[in-house]
Amino acid sequence: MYLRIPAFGRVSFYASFRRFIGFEWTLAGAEYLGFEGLLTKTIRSLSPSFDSIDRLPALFLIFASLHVTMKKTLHTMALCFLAASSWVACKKGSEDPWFSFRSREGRVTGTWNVVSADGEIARTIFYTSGAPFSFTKKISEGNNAITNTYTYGSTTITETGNSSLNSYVFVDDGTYSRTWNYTISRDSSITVAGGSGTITITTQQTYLEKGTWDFNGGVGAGQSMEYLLLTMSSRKLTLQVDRKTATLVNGQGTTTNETILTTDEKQYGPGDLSTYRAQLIKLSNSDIKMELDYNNYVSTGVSVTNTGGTSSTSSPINKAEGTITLQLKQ
Amino acid sequence: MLGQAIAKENRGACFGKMYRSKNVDFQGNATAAVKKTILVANPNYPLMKKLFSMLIAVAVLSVTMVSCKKGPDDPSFSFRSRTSRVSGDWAINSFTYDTTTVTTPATGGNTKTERYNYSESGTSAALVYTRIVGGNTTGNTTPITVNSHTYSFDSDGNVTHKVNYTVKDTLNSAPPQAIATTTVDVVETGNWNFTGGVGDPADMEFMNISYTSVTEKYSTATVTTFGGSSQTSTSSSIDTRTYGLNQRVSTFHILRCANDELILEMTVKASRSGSSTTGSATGTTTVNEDSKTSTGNVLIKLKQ
Repeated sequence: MYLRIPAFGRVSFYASFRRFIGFEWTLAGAEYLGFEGLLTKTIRSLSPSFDSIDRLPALFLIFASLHVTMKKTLHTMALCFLAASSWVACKKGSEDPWFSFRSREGRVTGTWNVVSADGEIARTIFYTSGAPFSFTKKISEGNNAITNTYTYGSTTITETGNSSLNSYVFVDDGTYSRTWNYTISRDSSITVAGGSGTITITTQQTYLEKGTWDFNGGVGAGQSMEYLLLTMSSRKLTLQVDRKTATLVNGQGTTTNETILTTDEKQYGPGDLSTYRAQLIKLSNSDIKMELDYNNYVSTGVSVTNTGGTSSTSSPINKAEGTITLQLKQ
Repeated sequence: MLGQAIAKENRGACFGKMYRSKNVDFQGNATAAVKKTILVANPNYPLMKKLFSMLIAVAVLSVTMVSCKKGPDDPSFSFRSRTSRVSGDWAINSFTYDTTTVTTPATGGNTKTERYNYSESGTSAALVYTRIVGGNTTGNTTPITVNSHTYSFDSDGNVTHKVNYTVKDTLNSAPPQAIATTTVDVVETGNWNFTGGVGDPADMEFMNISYTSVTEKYSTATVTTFGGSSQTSTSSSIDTRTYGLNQRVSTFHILRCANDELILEMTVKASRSGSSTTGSATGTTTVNEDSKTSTGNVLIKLKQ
């Protein structure tokens, strides 16, 4: 019994039927997996007269078609599962998109503007004698407007300003650059003999950091590519601090100006502890949210015991604790 | 019809079972019968089939194995993952640290070159310090006895570095003779991880070690000898420090990652220069910092 199918010429009915139900595909798959012999054995045990697939009982064809359908469904399910696994694997940060067709490397690559920065850092400066000095710095930046609030004891100083450029550029060859230029100022009142005054300090910063970027590996509890590793190779900082002092003493106004310009240039190698990590909370095509750990010298202490039993402790090192969260947009 | 099937079967044998099976079945011929005929026509068919399977297996295996070789001295292949190869307790086979810092004074004057060269092999180690200023070379060599020196990496990403060494220092050679023996016990703990594969380096070619806790214990016994009698005084100190995650991250190039040998290298390269200019109504003053450049290398060879 033959059918004529334009694309395939004359083929047997069973062959066309098998093709229609996908049996060939199943058989090829069975054979590929090494089940062909088992399949033939099973068929022979069911039908001793069977010695070729062409004489397959119709019942088996139905069974085969069901088998094929099930197998196709299983394969589809397996593919869906694999795809879903890959997508879920892409989700590393708590606010990551559920899936993305772009690799994490592809998503990081590009030019990013820092649209907001928020966080609080507690600093303690230890002195060799006297009580340590502690203060907190609260950073709030959005739409290029900067507000820093310093608090020590009951005193609060607020400085405000603007970023003219605050960006990261990540290149796919593994290099990056970070630029942060801003102007910020603060006023504080002073009392002088016979009068009062105001000190206005305006700071202009230009900052350029270059280096290489990478992801972390997947060792331990953290997921692979959960952190961005930034290794500085160079850093150039220019700070111009203008200090304007205006006083009014006995009705006589006086203004003095002083400018301090500081440039600091450093180059680093891998052995200079110039790597810092940023935890990627969110990484999508258009958004990066990352958290920078500013914890330095969380605790320190020295105890000394001499023959005479004398012991002492000291902590003459500065420490900082806190995190800053940056949001970047392309 | 059968001839065509045999021809296709033979051709198919070159391209894999799927292709062959599909063609033969498509003809509607009996698979078993065709195979019997093929065996008569081509007795090498089973051999070709096995050979083909082996070739596929070798190709797949070699691709996997080549991808395991990341460092220049890595083994060509390994059946263990890089994480499991790094994980374990390691003893120092050799440890060298060699850095040179050149300081150019901003105010002019002689350039100062300082070199620290530390080499350790087994229990013997020495720190050689050399200082060259204006053509004059000075320095000293401190012999060190290494009592133990180990690294321990686990698959959870924890790392522990322990070193215990003793240094003898002659404080006074003329009577009264005073010799101080200091034993230093250092324990650093933190975490380790590989780097990703962004840019030129291969994925997992480098590793980061970040120490978050360091404890240093110093125990010194000073023996003073005079007129046949001796007196011993002791002192000890413990210095504990904890660090933030970003404070002490070192990047090592894994030159070799084998089951029983791990070779790590770190390049030291740093330079610094700066200036400060103060301007006021009375004039402008510029202060330049000394320019410093450091170069060097750390090479750690570990054995299990």
